[in-house]
Amino acid sequence: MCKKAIHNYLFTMLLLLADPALSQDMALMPLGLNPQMVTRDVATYTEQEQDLMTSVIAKENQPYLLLADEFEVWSGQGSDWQSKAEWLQTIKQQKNFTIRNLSVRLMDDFSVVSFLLDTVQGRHNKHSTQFIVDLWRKSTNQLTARYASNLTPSSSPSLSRQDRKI
Amino acid sequence: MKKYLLLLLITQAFTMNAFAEQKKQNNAHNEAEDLAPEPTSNTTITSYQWAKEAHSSRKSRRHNPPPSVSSLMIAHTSPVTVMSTVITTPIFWGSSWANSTLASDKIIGLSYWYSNLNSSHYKSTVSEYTNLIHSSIAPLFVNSATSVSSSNPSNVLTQVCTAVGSANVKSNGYYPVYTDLPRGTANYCAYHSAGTCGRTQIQFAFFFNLNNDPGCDPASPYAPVAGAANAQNPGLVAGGSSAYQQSQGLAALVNVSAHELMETVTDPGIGGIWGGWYDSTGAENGDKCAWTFGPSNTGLSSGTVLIGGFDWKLQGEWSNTAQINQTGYLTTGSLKGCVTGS
Repeated sequence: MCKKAIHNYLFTMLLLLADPALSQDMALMPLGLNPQMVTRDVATYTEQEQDLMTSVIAKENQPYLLLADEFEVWSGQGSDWQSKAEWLQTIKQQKNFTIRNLSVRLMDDFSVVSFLLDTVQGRHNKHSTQFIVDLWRKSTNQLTARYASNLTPSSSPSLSRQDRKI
Repeated sequence: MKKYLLLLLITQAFTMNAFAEQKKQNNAHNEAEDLAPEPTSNTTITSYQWAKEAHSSRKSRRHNPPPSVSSLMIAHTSPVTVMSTVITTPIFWGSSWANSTLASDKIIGLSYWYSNLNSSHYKSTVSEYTNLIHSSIAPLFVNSATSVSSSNPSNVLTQVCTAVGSANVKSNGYYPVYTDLPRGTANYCAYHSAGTCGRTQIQFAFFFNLNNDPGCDPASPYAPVAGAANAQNPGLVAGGSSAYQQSQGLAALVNVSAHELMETVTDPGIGGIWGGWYDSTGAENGDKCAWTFGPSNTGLSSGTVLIGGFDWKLQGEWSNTAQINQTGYLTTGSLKGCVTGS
């Protein structure tokens, strides 16, 4: 009886290993890079954030139109904050950037836009990633506040890692 | 006893071999997962909220941008994995499809659109990547008594395999699943994915119910505006060469259906990898032209495309050739290269 049970067990194991379809009827492929069709809002604010950053870095006039007079930036470190002028001075040091994982929540006259911002700045091409939450006023189409937190390297993919893939 | 020991050794050898194979697949999966952006911290796979990455540099790209090599899509395997012969089976999932208010003209309209795509100019938007031959068969209805609980790809795949039957699924099959689930706060309208039913690799897609959803509405001139009181009553706005009047919900679903189908044929998930066409940011042909609408190929209003006997408002699809030749219309990033077929 015991031998028969062992025999049956081994036979079943062999059968399962020989035919994976019997052991797994359905399998999902890992999702690709951007499998989803984003909403109009995500597409719109991705472009708007991109335009803002591009024009600031290029020292164009457009950012002043996109930034509200009361615009200020709050960081995740203590109670540090920057005025519009201070932030513009800082941001101009950046050489290039990537915006990713952007999401949008619409709330009355405000849109809450969050995303990861990868930047390269300074003479030593220092890479960093921040989690940004922006508050856009819809009626004026202006950015009123930005909340930024630095992410540690281990908690987000680095630029070089992305560049290596493709 | 020796006989059993021998059998045990054989089993172990099989196990190790299977383990090695599984490890190989896991490595491939991990690599693919490495490519994927990380989800927001408190979300599951069902609620990934991704946008295509937006790159920039000091160089302004708004003024007469030159052809951009970095914006081109790249074939990710050699030979590239694309689909040429595709058979679409629309699947309607959810109890509300029995409700005529939701169903409206969507089931018949989507079926019509899929069955006439092959003879349209719009199909030629992918002709530089694949010689597509598309056909479709009658839609299926699943779990008509059960509400859709999740947009999770695993759940959607389960519904496809159950509805079609593992023995009946086609390796060149594409199964777009239309649910009665509203989008809510998700930041996407639809997605496409791949998996296996039994031994057969299939392509499938998921669609929210886009009724009264301005975030996923192409604003078709032939449909009422999303959010309006009459959004689900077709026939209030006339237009087009055939004066076809469609509901807002149908117009929205057809536009995102075009996006997902054209992405599926140019970048299907096959053999555990996404080996088709996409650019350095991971954007596929549909992503690169999402929510942009080109000149009409019927001489009518912007973005209208003739399929079958009717006009539809459809986004364009990215063409490497058009970008290189500086033709096509502009993406949201102001690059030429979106086409609607001609």
